[in-house]
Amino acid sequence: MALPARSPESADKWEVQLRKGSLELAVLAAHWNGPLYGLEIMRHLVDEADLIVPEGTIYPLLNRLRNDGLLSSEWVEATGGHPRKYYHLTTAGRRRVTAMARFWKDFSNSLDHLLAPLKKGNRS
Amino acid sequence: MIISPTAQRRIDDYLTEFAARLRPLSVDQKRDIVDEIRSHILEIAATGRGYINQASADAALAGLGSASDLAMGYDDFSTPACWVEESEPPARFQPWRSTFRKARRRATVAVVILATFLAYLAAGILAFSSLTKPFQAHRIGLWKIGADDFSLHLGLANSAAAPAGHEILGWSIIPLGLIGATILVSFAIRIDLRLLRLFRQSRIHLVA
Repeated sequence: MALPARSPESADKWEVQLRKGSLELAVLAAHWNGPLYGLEIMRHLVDEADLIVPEGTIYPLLNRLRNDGLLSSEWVEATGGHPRKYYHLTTAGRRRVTAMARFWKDFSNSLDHLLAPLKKGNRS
Repeated sequence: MIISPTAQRRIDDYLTEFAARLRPLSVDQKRDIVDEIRSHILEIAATGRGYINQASADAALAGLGSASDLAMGYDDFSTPACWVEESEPPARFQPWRSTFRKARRRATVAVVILATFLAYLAAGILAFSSLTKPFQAHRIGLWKIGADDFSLHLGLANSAAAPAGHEILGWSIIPLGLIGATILVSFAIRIDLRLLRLFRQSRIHLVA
């Protein structure tokens, strides 16, 4: 999903910033149901949230989340012959993503309230 | 999985450059990161084929971006600079590492404070010498005492008479002393203001 083609450049930048800001939440939330490896995470984000994460971004982010203790990792031998590094949420990661999700929900509710007049204006 | 020699060379060159540009890390950490990127490249390059040729290897590498940009991405996501404490401690907290980091920060702050104190002190001595020289010309100055070049005496002489040896600066101690004092005070104030700004912006705890 992207903004209309006639949007000014600043609107595109805002959209990029918004996606960047929610990336950590998205990556942590993707692990809620079980371990994933890098490519799986990227595909999951595209399938579930239409969120395209550049390959050069996802791995440094995963490394940082692991260093912060929110994810842990382990190498697993894959059928293709090369091992894959799987990540799963730690206890701290579960607490963190729960808190972030709660904040996101409250924030989006507040924003929805603010945006309500715009929706009424569009209908009329 | 079959990899063509050209593709293998391309991948190895990319990973070698990537590893070289990663910020200083332990051997294990670097190997872990590089292995993960290698695993990604191999999987992307072999998708739908079961073998990797030069074209598929190049496509996989292009998706990652340049090796230097990728390595820089690990810097961007690195832990904060030493002046700023991390917002939350990691779950697998290693007390010895955190203690060492805090001790190093406090030692650095202590050294900086000491350096600025010494700068203020030296500026005070220079300013005092400069301002009192007109009133105590024979007692205020910079003397070379003895044959050893390092035997210098700055400031008030102990007795009413000038000390043995010869005065080096004479009346030029006034402008030189004032200029030196100004430079030292400016330097010290800049350092202190920066320290104060960092202290306010970060969560440095100077007291245990």
